[in-house]
Amino acid sequence: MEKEEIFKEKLEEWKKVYEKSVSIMPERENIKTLSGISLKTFYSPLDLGDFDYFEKLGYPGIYPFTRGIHPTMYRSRYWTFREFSGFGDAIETNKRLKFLIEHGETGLSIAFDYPTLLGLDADNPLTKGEFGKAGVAINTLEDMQLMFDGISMKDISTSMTINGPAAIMWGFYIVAAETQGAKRSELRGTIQNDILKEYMAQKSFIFPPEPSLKLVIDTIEFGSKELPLWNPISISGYHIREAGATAVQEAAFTLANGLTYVEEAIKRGLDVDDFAYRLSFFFDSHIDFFEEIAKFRAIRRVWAKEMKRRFNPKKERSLWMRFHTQTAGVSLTAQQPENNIIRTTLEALAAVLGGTQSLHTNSMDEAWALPSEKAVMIALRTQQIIAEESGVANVVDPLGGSYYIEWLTDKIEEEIYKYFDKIEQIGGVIAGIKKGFFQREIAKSAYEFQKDIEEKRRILVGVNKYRIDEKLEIPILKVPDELEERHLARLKKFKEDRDFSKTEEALNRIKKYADEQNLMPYIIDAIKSKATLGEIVNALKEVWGEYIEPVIW
Amino acid sequence: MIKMRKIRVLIAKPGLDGHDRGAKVLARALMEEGFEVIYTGIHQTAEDIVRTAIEEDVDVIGLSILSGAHMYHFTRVLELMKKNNLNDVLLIGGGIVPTDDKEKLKNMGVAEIFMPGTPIKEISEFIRKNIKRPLE
Amino acid sequence: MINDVNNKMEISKLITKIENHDDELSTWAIKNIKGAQIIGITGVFGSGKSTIISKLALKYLAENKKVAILGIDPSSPFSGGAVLGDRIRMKELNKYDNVYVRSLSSRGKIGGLSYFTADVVNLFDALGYDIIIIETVGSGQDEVDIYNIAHTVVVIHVPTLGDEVQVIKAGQMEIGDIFVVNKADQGPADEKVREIETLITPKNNGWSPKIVKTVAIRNQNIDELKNLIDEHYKFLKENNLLKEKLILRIKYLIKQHLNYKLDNIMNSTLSDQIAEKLLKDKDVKSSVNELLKILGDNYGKGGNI
Repeated sequence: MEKEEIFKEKLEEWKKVYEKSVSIMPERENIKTLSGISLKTFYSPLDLGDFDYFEKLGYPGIYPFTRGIHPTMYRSRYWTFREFSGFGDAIETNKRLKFLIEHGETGLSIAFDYPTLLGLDADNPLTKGEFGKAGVAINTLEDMQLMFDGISMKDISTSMTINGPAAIMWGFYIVAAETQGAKRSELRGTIQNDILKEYMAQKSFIFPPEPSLKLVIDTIEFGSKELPLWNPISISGYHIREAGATAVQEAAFTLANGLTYVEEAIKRGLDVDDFAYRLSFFFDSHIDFFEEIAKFRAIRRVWAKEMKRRFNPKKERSLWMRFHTQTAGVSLTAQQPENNIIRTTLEALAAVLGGTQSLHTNSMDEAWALPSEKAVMIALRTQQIIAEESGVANVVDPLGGSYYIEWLTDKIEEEIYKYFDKIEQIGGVIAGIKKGFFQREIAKSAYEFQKDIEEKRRILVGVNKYRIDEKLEIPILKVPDELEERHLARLKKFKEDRDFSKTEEALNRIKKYADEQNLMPYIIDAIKSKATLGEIVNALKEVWGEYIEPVIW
Repeated sequence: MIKMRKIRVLIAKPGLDGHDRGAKVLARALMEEGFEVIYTGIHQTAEDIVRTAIEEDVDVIGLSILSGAHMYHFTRVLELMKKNNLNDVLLIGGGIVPTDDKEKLKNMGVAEIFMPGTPIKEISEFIRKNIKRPLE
Repeated sequence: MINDVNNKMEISKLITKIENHDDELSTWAIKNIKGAQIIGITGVFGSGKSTIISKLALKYLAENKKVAILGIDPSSPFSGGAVLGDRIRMKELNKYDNVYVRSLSSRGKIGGLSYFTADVVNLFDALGYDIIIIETVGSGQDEVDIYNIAHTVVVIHVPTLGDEVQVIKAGQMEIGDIFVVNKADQGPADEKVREIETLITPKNNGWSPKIVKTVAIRNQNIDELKNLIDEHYKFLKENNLLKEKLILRIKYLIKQHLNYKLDNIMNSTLSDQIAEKLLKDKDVKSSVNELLKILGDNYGKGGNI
């Protein structure tokens, strides 16, 4: 390092000043990032040592993409404002989608209810009490068409957060768009479809790991051939983070999952350049501002490095880390909910400074219920103000070059690689899931976080400090019961009005080819033959069985 | 005399909600406070839960619900508890429950619903103070 | 003493009583033992014990037998609390009335079963349950304890994945009557079978331990496992070994009750005093004898320690 001696000499001088200062004003104890990385008082060129700009950063849009995957980033186009929405039935959700588009949302993001997420139709007794509460219920092609009534599917990109039955929901979308006159090759959007993280964190799996993975690769293969503008998977760290993981664990486990999907797709015979550019990611943006920014940058760099090293793609775009971000749900408090607006703003800002392609901002009332119209409006405005007023979108990677940020980016990268080594030692991601490795790490971090809160090593404003005696005063969204009745009536009629023999034939074909062929065409066939979500999932359950997880502490 | 009796707490996730971070953290923390915690995992029906409560002779049933389906599930569990004469069992809950629903549930017989962010010690103290069978 | 043996609520309260020490109930249970078949299942975390037990239970239920399942988890040596999570994989049993699942903690006995686990087993026996399955973690001491209670001990293994080293513990080889390699579709199962084969020796009573591969989650080979378990029970019966096993069980029970009394004394100030005296001017032999005398006197006088 150049002039290292001078830096060290001056540091010794600083230490004297420091000692004097802390004898009067001591520092807080144990200053760490949210993930537990210890932080020094300040960072300087000494901490970066022989920092090679082009090895570590490069210019934006060039390998290793640390500063951004595009050369101009938000100077050309802002990130997509994409608010996660859905509740009740398709008709109700259609209204909310139109409301958001009218008020400036630039991409759609659909939240489904629990029954739908688990592949259960609303008339299944197991679903009692759950209809439309956590998202929208979509059981049939008709539901999908109603949800997009008056919205041109070829002119907007839609992200659908669904995993176990993702392939089927995608089928509904494709067929619905085609009935609107769109061509498959025009459709833009994403299905989350990331089954590996379900076993680790979110737990909305249906089938066991092996067949579930096979179905995911089916979608990647199908997408690479028929829907070049669609992201058939959103490899997610958000849920892993929300389940209790640290920033490092979120990054490491997600990247490991991503690399596993790439391996599996290549085993299937696909060329990496045919599908890699359509792998998208989804991360959390939590409340430790700088840690999150550094995390996003580290993730971009590690993904590019590993993709290059392991698979050696010919096209640059196969190395791009494209991701959507959601501000951290788990950081929202039920107490003094208006404070959540501030939290969401900081988290959104971190995501933007971290170079996200798409962003969802939480509403302040989400520790109580799904967002009310007023709350989601504020969430949307948050993004618009950051984009249009604050100036942070005017320069690419504005924090690049900060000693702290570069040091922290490197540190997070280092920790990610430590996890990569561990995962390799235990035999890879799937072996790790079966052995409970990820679940254990996550549960441990969750538990330690709780202890930190209870023992006030970590402060949550309004919860363990600055508490007030309060009565909740904000309007809360309620899902009326009539929506379920309306939906069930439609479902009944839908089933009555069809030629079930055709449906049954299509379902039988799904069962026959479940393990042998790419299921997407058969799923689409079944949808055109008026099969419901639950019926298609049941057909697959008959072949693949259902998965019951072992609980890991 | 070595005291044998422990307070037994059933922690269950009714319905389809798979968010188990809170339930697992609570189970482990209550264990560290000296309780015996029976954790049933996710996807439990009210029948599953009450049957477990009977067979395990629990002092407390704790339901964790973050999916919005709390009114339905608590109502079902209360019904079955009544039907089976589980009068000496405390019913509590945690998760995402708006204030007015919380009031309704408490009037129906739920002893307390704890908001996200409630310190574990508060929950364990509440349990110790409110269990209906003495510790001897 | 017991009003309705089919009332689970009543049974459940009785279990709590006997688990927390009730000499009268313990005696009643022993006197009313009907001859249940007791199966001990042990194996490390992740070996699929709970799934195997659930599938086995279904088989016995199909024969119209009443099945009791005891899941044992270790208690925390610091707080005394425990997380009892064995039920999770047994949801499919909730459809049946003739099965009873109860979770027990080791209640402070590190690595073993709680003082009165054998009494709980006897209670189920007395209440007419035909099959009693006890599941433990396989940490060492509890396997020895299981050996004293169960007719048949089943040890579950899984194929070795990747680089990890799975040690087959000496104790397991001695007490196991049947060895299972579960999750046989997930790795080199035959290798694991061979590994076990090399370590097996015939038991003193003449039984040659058997090995079986299963994939419990798909119900594969559970019939074979059940047949082996029943075969072993038949072996004991035909060789007049059931009585011997019962004596072993009761001896074990008495010892546990004795341990309870002893531990009580050792927790009291009396034992502190004895320790102080030993340090001063007493000798080991007389110290121990003094303790025995206190125990004896106490009981002679109907004392309560």
